[in-house]
Amino acid sequence: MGVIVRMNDGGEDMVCDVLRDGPGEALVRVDDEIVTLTLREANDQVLIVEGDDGQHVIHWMTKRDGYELLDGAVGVVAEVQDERDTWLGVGGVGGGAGTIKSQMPGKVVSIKVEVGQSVQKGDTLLSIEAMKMENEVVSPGDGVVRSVNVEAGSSVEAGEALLVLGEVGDE
Amino acid sequence: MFGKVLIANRGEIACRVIRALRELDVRSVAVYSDADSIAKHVRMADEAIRIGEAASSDSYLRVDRIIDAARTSQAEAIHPGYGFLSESEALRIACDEAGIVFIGPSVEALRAMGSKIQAREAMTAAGVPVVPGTVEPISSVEDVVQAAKSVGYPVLLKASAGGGGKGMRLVLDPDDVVGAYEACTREAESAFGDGAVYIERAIQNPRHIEIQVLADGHGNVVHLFERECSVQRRHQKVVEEAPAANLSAKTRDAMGQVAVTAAKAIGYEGAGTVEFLVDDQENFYFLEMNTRLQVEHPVTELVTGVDLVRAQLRVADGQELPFGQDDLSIRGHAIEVRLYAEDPSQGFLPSPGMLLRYRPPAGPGIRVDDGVSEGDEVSAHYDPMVAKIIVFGDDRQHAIERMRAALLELRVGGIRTNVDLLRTILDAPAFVSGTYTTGLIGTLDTLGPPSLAEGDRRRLAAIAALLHQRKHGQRVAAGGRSNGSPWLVEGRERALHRDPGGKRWA
Repeated sequence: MGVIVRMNDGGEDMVCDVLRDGPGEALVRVDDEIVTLTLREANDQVLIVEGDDGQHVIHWMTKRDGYELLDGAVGVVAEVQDERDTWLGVGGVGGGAGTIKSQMPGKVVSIKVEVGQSVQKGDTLLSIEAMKMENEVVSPGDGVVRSVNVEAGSSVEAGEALLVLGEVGDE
Repeated sequence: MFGKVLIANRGEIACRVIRALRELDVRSVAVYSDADSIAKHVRMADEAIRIGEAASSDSYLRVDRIIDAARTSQAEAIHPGYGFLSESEALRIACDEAGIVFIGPSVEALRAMGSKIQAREAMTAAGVPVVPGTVEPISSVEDVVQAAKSVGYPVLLKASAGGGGKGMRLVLDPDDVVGAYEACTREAESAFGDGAVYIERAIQNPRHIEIQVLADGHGNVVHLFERECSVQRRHQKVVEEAPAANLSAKTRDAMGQVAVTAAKAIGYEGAGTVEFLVDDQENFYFLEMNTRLQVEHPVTELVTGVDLVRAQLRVADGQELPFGQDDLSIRGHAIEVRLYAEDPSQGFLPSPGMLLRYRPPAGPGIRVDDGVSEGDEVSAHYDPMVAKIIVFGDDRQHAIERMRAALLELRVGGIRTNVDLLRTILDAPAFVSGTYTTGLIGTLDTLGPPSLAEGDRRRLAAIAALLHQRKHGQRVAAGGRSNGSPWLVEGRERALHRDPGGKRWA
């Protein structure tokens, strides 16, 4: 499950995906790079990560929307949100166009909504078959369908726009 | 020595006093508001008494409740700390009437220095140089125009009953003086209950240097040299040091003598501080006298070896000072920084909250005076100071190196603090060379958010994602894959080759 990480250093949000979490090592895709975390030690207060520049002793604390991390003397607050929860830049992390994108290659099985239709958070928008499973794509929030970019039977690629949702009243 | 002393204060200074009492085997009584019921100073004391609701005006400023608490606990003396009622004539009088020893000066001394206007008058009469300005309070708008003109611009309008940098206004242009006066007197009335305003000439980029004095009830008055407190943000001290960064021995001696003269002139007893402004020619002018212990007292303690709180207790107990002026000298150098719960990205507004992580520095030459422990709440009701970090070094350079290392060792999480500002100050060329003035912080780059190298921020983002995954990973409904669904949004498993729930899907 992808997450969007927004840090309070004023930099760009990063889309992250934990690819592997094994003993001593975790692999996380951060945007287009894979970050290897060589974890020497971890408990409920501190993680010790080995880097090329020496060890990083990271104090971590849970916050309402994510974590506060103290990397040595530098502190950051990282908001973490599941990609499915991002919504149109109103509150929430990630903001942006409200475009629902395909994460993996697949095939559209059926489309449950039409342009102009009002939807609520949790409504099924379309269903897609991918990786031998059929999945329902549900709306992450309330809104109005602005455009549907695919049709039943379409093959889609990773990152392809499926449909666009707009805010209610935003004509 | 007293058998039991009540501390009419909270936070780090209450903890400081409790430690001094414990050394002397004196029982300590803490008082607390509802917001402080489990605060560090309460946990440290032998006894604790609730004195009211969270707001200071309902608790720490309630003379009646504090006297009641002293009576109930049978405390023989009250130590008022700093701030709150430490310079309150009302508390002193109430103590006298209740037969409780007030650890501080007499009503007359409090009164003499409590009104800044009267203090200036008394000092002028004693031959102490004061900052050029008005002797009488300003009584009218016409008065302020005339007085400001004769003092000479730029001028500072100051509240007579104010202190700690509050109730001040700088006026550069004669056209602004009337408006500034009206605002100043209004603020003074509402903040201190006394709208009296006086005028001083504003000395450009002065140094703020103060002298610690100690006087007993036997006529002995000594000074314990100076502290420089020029690093200020909006008139609030941020970094202090002893001795001053660059002060000639001649000026030090002269200022010390003047401070002793001032204390003697008002019959002072106890620990007090005479504050001066010093210009670039080392001309010094009396600013005000604080008739209490100061926040920054630790730097004096470290370079003189004198425990000032212990001295206060002994003086209040009627003992004679065990040392004279000739026994005192400065050894080494001390620097203190004030760690505040403030958000630099929000103009240093207080940033209260839970102290999720707090690991103060330690080691040789490191002293931390705090009133909180990890897990405590840094309250929104009171001064947002978290801790004072004080270092002692063989000389000033050593002290600077030690402070930089100490600030790198410090870990604070859960609240925002001014720690980046503190580090910047310790690296600032003007601070390092000792040529800084009260204008220093204004010259430093406005602090933005932490700037991280790309690799570091990716690493941190990866860690945040990993922590999130470890916490929430099991919750992911879709897919039958251990890493969760590859799908962008929540989906329901509908495997074509499996048969969840025993039903066959078409």
